[in-house]
Amino acid sequence: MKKRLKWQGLFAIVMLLTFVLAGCGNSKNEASSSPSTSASPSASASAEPSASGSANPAGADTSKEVKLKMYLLGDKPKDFDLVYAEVNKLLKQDINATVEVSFLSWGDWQQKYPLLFASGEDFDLIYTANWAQYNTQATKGGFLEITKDMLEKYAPKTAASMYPEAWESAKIDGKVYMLPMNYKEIQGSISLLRGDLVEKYGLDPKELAAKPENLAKYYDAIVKNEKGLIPVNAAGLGWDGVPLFVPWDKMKGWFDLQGTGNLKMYYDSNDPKAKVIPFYQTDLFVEGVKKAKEWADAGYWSKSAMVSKTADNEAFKTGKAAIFGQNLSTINSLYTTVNTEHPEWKAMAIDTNFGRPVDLKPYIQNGVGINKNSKNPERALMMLDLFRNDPRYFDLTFYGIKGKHYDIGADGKSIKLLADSPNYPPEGACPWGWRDDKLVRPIEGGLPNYDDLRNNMLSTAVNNPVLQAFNFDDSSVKNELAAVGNVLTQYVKPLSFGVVKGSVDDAIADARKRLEKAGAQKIVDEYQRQVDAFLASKK
Amino acid sequence: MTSFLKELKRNRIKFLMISPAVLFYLVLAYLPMGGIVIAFKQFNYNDGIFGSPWVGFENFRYFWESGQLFQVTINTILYNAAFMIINNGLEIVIAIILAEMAGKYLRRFLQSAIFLPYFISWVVVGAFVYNLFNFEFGSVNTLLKSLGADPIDVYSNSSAWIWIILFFSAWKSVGYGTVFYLAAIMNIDNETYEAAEIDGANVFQRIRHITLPALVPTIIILILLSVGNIVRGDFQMFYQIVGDNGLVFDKTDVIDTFVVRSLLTIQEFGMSAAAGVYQSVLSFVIIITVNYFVRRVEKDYALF
Repeated sequence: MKKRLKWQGLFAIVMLLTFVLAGCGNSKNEASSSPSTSASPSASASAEPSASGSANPAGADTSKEVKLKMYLLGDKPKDFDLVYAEVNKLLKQDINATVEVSFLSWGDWQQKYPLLFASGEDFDLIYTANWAQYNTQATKGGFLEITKDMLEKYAPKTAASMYPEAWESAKIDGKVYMLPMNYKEIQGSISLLRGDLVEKYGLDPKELAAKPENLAKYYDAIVKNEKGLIPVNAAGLGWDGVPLFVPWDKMKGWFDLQGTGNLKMYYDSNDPKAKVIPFYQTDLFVEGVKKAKEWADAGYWSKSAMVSKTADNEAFKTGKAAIFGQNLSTINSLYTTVNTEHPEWKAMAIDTNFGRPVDLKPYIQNGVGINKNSKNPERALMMLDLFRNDPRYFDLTFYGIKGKHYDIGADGKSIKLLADSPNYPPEGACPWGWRDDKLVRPIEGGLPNYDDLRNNMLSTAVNNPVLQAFNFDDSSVKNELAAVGNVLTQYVKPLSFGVVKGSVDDAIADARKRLEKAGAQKIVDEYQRQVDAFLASKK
Repeated sequence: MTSFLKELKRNRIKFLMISPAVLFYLVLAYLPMGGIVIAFKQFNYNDGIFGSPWVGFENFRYFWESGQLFQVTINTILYNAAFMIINNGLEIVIAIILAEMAGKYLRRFLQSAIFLPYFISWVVVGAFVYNLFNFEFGSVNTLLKSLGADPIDVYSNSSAWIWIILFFSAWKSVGYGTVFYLAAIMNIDNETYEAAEIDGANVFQRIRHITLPALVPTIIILILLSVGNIVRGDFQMFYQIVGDNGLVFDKTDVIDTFVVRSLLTIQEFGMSAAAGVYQSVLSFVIIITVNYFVRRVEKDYALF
């Protein structure tokens, strides 16, 4: 008896080890067989291709109720659950599904986003964009490929309504991994000021917006007279490569290049060769740092701004900072909130593009992707089709509940915000991925000069500058990017905040030397090589 | 084999008792070791851990490319050595004082008070630090200004951060460590003390000749355990206290913060795994060496 027990125990251990080893072995086999079948999931064989192919060729089978899981970016508005309860009621009726949404907060989405894919979680939908890791996760195989067939079958309205160029712009190596927004977006740089202070100190908003230097007058008046208010919040992250003062007026026609992290690079849209300009090498950078130092010394932002964790819009909303710069729609949305809560501030928006023409943003600036491991990609597509094309869903997700958060205005098109609106601010719950030109509504009580600002930018806007569809492949310079990113935080970030010990020229020379040593030039060269190849292929 | 089975049979209850621990380390420490291969691969989701292409030492390159590897490694080791000496020293002193203390309730109270910071998250400590040293509104500067002194700019003074970090590390962890020493002291036979007292030894002589020698094994075990972690910077602590303040990195950057900062915008699993491998190999070498020397001096004190 006792002997038997012993052997059983040993047997159990052997079994355990076998399972463990088999587990490793299996995944290896499956993995090595999968690359040929494009982005099809390796582990969950039950997913899209086979299921849809065999079960129901005629159309979508919605007899089984499913629960979809979606990830969005940002912070959850207070009334979010109320609104999505309504959404779920409709979804249940229409496609026998419900959706459960989780938010990745602005504070740490960059860390959490890749983990969702790496952990193999079986969520269905996730917000993605050219600035939100679309490229990285798509090339790593995180998203399910969306084919034209799938679109026509499960999202027929979207298939019909989507701009063809939007579909094209989402392609990576000829495959589409997201549904981009269907919206011609213009962002630009708009700043929200405290109108009461502008008036109080007799400043002319037109003059403030004429040149970047002119904002100093506004800052100066505040620093000297308003105790407890710091003009610029300039919270910690994101200023690694660009000084807090940039002579934008001298960079007309310059556009951002994406894909090199905090190493800021531009190109001049008037230059047919599209020479890559690393910002840290320019004289404008030096000029920016010098001015930033002057402003930092004058106390226009906190000496501890670099480590502050208060978001800029929060600081403005709570009356701790006197300026907030962002794109037009964000400013418009913040304006409505601020103006309801603090009408006495007389918040006002000025155009801080300083004469730079802006670009129409690429469609993939916003979008929604489907997870490779999704168990119900058909239903996910069907839901997106409703979100994108059905006004009932669109209005709910964008503006909240009618009669509670908003009401339709007198013209039948625009919306009027109600008292509860701050609990679900318009466009505040990350619905941007399904934004559509036809369904977006203007907001009453938004910026009074909204149209002026937008038209003004549109009049000079550059439509589709040459490198807009260009995607940088960073695989050959990953190590350099890591090393450079590190130097940027350690040596360039303080410069950006105007915190300089000793002379500016020495500090910049030192930072440049360190960037070169970390391989910045190699990144620039590689970028230029890919840009040249891209331009050559377009001819 | 047969002798092993015999042993298994003889001590089956003891084996059963240790099995949860063995299983824990097997599943959570030994099995994941297979993941080391990621450090030598260009990982993608489709091919998985074992299927992704090999890239050799490519993932390690950013270490020396940035020229910071040496500096951050030295920083990490020096900080941890300082924590080890200061914190252990304080823990021993406090444990002895608490043990010698007469009033039972006062002792309990003090022990809890010292222990309490251990439960405070580093995120909160980070907020403390920011609110203390913020240049415009920080408590320290407000106090200085009200006394008529000039405000100090801590955020551009890298040497100050060494002391800030040492202070908060001690403040947060000493209470926890004290418990170990207190337990060890309580285990010392009371008769020894009584005998010493009769022989006319005063408090300091008793501490010097009875308590301290009895604590040596505990001290050595605890130090050996922390030596194993000497190349691992406490990311939470350094990141939350210092934040993204490039001006002071030369004195405050440790391997972990360096790696996170380098890879934050890149997200290359292979490169983060490479950092882990580097630390593990270094830890392994250090702990083997230290253990070797401990073993030569006093065999009973060595870990293995």
